[in-house]
Amino acid sequence: MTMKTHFHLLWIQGLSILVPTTLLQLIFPWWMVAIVPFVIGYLFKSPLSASFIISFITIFLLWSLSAYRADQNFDISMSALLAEILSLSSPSGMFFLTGLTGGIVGGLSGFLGSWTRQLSQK
Amino acid sequence: MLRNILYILVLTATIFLVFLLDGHIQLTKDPLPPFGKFLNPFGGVWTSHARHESIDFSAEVYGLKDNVEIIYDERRIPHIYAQNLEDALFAQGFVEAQNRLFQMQFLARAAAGELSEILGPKTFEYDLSKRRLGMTFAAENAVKGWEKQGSFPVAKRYMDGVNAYILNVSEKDLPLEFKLLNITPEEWTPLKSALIFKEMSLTLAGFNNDIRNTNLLHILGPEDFTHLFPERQSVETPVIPGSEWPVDSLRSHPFDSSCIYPYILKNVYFEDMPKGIGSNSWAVSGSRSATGHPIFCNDPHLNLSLPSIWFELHIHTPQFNAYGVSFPGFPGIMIGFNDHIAWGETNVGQDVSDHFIIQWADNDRNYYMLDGQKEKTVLREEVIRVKGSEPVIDTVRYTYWGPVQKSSLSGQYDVALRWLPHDEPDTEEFNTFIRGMSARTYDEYLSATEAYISPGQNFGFASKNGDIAMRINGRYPAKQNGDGRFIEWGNQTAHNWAEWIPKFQNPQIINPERGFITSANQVSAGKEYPYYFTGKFERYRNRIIHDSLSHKNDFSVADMKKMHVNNVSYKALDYILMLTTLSDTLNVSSEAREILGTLLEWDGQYLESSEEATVFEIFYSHLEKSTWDEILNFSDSVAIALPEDWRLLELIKEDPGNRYFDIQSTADRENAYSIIELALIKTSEDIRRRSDEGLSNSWSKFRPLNILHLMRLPALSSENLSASGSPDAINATNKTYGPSWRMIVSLEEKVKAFAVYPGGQSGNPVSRYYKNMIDPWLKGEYFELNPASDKKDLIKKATQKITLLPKNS
Repeated sequence: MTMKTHFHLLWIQGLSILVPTTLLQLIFPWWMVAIVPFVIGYLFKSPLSASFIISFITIFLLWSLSAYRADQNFDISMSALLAEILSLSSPSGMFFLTGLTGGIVGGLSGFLGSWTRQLSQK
Repeated sequence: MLRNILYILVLTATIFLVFLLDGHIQLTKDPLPPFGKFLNPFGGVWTSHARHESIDFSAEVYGLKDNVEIIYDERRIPHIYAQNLEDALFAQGFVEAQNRLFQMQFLARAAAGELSEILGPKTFEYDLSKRRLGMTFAAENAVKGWEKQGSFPVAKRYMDGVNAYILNVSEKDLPLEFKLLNITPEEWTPLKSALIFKEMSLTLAGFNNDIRNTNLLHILGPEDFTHLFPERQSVETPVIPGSEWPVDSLRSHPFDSSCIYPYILKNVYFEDMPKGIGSNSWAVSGSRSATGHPIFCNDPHLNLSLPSIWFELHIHTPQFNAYGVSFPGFPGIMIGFNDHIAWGETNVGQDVSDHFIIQWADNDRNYYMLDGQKEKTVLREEVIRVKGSEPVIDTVRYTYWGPVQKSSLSGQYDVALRWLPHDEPDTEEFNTFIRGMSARTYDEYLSATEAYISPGQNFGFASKNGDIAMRINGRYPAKQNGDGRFIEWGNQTAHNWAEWIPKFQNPQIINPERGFITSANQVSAGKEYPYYFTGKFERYRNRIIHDSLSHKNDFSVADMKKMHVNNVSYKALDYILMLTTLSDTLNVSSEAREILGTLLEWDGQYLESSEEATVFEIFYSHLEKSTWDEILNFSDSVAIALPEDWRLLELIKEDPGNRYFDIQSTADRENAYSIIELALIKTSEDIRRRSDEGLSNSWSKFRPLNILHLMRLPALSSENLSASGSPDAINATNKTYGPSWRMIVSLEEKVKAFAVYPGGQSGNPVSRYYKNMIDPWLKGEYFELNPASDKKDLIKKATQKITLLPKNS
């Protein structure tokens, strides 16, 4: 397995997480970001660390960018309001915090998905 | 093996994390939002936008008789066009839920003492106090009484409207607060509406002086108490002028002063009513207006909050066309107008809450003595749920009088509360503001509001046909001199309220010769009125209004607008007049002389920029503290009150050598003059200190105005606002209190109305309508109200259109 195919696989793994998570999130609760990366992590043969990173990045981007996009719909900035409630210094920190929250859950789930595959194949 | 253990650890940790972020596990004492659910951009707080406030829709709902159209205007005032009263009330419930659902749910919980269930342990004491006061008991009794009335099903359509919205709304769209607290809306019930109403009763009729007075009576002795705490002023301008009263059928209840409890009590169960709660209302007849038609004005002073306590709305049916404000959670328009009349209320300070000493018959406090017999208490288990902790059970004992309050005495006594709002209503009181909004004449208005019980209000009225009128409305126990002023023994039913003042004997007036009516929470009637008044009555605002109205006979709407924001305090002017008289006799240093000079030149206007107002407030607080040191010494150990401001002034003028002017801690014997000199010196020191510290002495910096969110979150509040006014001025602002709705209605051929309130229609903090009216309110600006009978007049500027359609099952 060369580095190049590895990279491609990760790319596909990321997309495979992104599309179903986005769709499922429209109907189901937030913890879809735990379910989908786990399942995809299980299906892909990525190393544990790579699975964590790609799951984290995908969900981080999905959540932070969606939050950013949603914030544009408000008459009054929700991010600024939340930053004040949570004592964050900058409103954009809210997008980061949102991404981080989803990202950690997604990352851990992707990691566990891959790990479960490894353990079950022994 | 190690790998497997590690795997299970990571798996468990991840599952734990998901549960934590979903709100099922709580790690801190004060609950945090469930961050995963909360920050989820697909359904958490990021979808709590206000976009749906501009999306037109139609919804099919059960039980509607006909189509209802709701048009929101550019200030997000809903204009409801219904074909009948039932549908109109349904729509009122629907729009109030649409805009104020969190507020309604939160206030019902606050009233019932159920906040800790969503906020955690920090509100536990607050909840406990509500349980002990029997707020849910009161609300349950109200519902019991309402349901016996044949007209209740119509009012109940309001609750159906609230619930229709709750069913209709997607969880995603709920405002920020629901997600912050991780709660969903609960079904709206008559009990919740009753709780909202009882909460208002607590604000307006939940004060009580009897414990404070009893303590003072024993601390000061009867002679000094009577001297320092007279109940009536020598000159008064009561709400209802005149001296003739129907005396042939007086209800009487003999008062025997030996029933007064002869000891000091430590606890007090009602907070003293905060300075700033109250209201102004007045109307001039055509003889005093520029147009020849009556003008009606009302501005209730309540806790200023976000969302505001009021919700503005317009209801049109073929039978009536009403516009005004409601309490979100309760049907009808409380203050408003229609095509024929205008109406409003101010609070009546008459005492409807008395405490009685319970003499226990056993150590477990399950039996008490009443008329020589052992009576059993009724135990009510109050389960207080606390988020993140175990529920706490508090057993409240109910007696003949009402709920027994927190134990305050050692040994065999406790105190029980007799409170009018606990009683099961025997009238259709819930209908007052529903029927009131469709009245066309004073007779119709009188009959519509006849059922009203509590909290007691002065009902002001003016109509297009030229009538102006005022009635002290509500139910009051017939009391004789002294009754209810002090704690009484609760071992005899004879000490209870025996009879109500018949409503026709409540003070009231129509079309007085003077050409105006007014009420500002002052005493209801003159000394000739045969029933006893005790309670909380206003002493200054009413005089300013009275004088302003007496001195002019061509009032315009513009004059009324100016009057609403009049910042003169007669308390300040009365004291300045006294200082002017004394200025030559006072012996003060040059610095204190400067302070005196500042005060003497002041016009008594509490303008936001005024430094004199700050000087006066500091001066007055020193004057009060130095004079009443004898009483204040007790304030740490027992509940007390201070003599009123006007009485202190009288004593300075008439009895300057009174021994209370002496400061106990000094060897000298002070009198009124030395107390004033001392207060001036201390004021000059305080002012200098403030200047040294770089603090501004302007009134609005010294006393900023805060309009707080219900949850006290600074991010959702408007704090440190710069406002003119004082509780003793018509513009009665005070810290977190103030004119919560200023309304002026000119009853011309086509009724013209103007109003403003310090908040916004939407309860959603990210809506542009959340606090858009605070600035205009601060500036004393008004909006012209548009009670358009024809919806076409509104459609052009509509910001949202909703159609509710009947759904056939």
